[in-house]
Amino acid sequence: MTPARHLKRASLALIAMSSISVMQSASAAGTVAGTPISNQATVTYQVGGVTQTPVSSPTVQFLVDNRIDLTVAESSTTTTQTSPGLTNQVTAFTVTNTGNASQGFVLTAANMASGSASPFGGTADNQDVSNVRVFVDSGATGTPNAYDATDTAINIASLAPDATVTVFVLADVPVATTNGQFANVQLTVVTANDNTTTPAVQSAGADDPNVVQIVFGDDGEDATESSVDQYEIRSASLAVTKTVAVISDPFNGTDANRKAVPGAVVEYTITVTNSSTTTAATSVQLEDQIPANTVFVPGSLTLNAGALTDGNDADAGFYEAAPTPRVVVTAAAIAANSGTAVVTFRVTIQ
Amino acid sequence: MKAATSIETTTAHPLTKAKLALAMLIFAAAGVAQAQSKNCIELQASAETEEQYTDDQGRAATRLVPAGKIVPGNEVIWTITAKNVCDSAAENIVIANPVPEHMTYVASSAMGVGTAITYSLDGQQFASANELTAKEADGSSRPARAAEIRAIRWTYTAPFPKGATAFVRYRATVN
Repeated sequence: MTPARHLKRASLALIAMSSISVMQSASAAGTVAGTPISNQATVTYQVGGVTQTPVSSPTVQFLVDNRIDLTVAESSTTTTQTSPGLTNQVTAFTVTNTGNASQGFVLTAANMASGSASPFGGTADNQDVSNVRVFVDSGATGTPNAYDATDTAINIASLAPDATVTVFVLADVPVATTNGQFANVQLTVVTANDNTTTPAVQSAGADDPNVVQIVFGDDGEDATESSVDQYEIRSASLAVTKTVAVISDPFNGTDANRKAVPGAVVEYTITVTNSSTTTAATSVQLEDQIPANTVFVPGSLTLNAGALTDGNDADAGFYEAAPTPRVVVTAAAIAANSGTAVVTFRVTIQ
Repeated sequence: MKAATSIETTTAHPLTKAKLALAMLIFAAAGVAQAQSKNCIELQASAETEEQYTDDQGRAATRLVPAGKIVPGNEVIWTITAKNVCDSAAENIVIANPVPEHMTYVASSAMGVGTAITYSLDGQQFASANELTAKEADGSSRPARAAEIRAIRWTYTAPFPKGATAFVRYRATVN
């Protein structure tokens, strides 16, 4: 009878228990590599009705080998929102050693090519980010799980079984990007020997029961895992309109018949509208030169119906006569969803 | 309950385990994995794993090979072989094996032709599979789980004649 058949037969013996299977191990990574597992059987028996000295088998022992396994996960489950021109934009990942020995991990971060799928089921990559770098959370120093100046390591030197560390990918968003674009970055993690950057190599050949050998147990059995995060570029979208109205003329005053004749006062209204549905525009600076053949009316400058002094001082705007007569107004913020900033000033026609 | 009672009577003798283990280690080191000449039963244990292969007919098949690289989650098949090396028959043969530390017994995997198999959660109290119970924290009893089994005992129902060989087997996974 073949051994396999014996085993099948034996399965009847414990059928009552077969529906229950619970792992005792508290650790997901399992028994630590190098742990010896030894076994010794004992037999008791009688000969001629006389109990004999019990006999034990030789001890059979092997060392638990090193299973390399890891998971790499994007931390936030949503896009990382950013804006054109911003630098050092941070996305976070976690790296978990699910193997059974301490390992080093070599990190690589890269911008992904256009068309790379969204990790969140949204729009695919259609923009690039630059200067992509990766840093390991220093944990004990600085702010845990948030990128700070203490996070300078570029590889994970040593991570214990079941331990997790946060890794930050930093990238710069080109100024040329526009609202609603998406850029993917990928973190790739290669398992290395502990406290080295030397990639782990799977042990070839047969097992040596007395040597801890390396077995790749991760998806794809390549000791390498990766994860993708996505930047969502959000930008304000501004449009400017300018209208002009005659306020009064020297002959008709403010009468309905007033005309834009020499001596008439004319008011310009400049409206800046933010059509972005998501992002406010801040520090919007507006400059308008005083038209030729007109003279600025002192004290006529307003922002959102609030008067501004002509001097270049603490308020949001000023008038300047030289070198070119002009008004300059800075709106602190223009809200999303058609928020506006309205600047008015008056001139007298020469 | 009857089976359990009879086992207790056959294994009431204390083992001089440490002494024997030392002797066995010396034998093993010398490459002579043999019991002492005065012992009538020679006992061997081996660790194997299943290997999938394609037989000469091109069919997928499974065979046992000496335990290869073993990592957590792997299943090891333990085989214990007993041989009667005396001129007379050996009776009331009971093979006992604790499930090794860092391993978990695989449900329904213990076998042994011509044996009654009992199990223990603590290495002291043995019972058949369907009579094995575990105590809950509140003192109540429930059927034991396979993963809780820490020792297995095979009681041969028939004597071993001169030269007879038999083996018992079970599976356990590395935690």
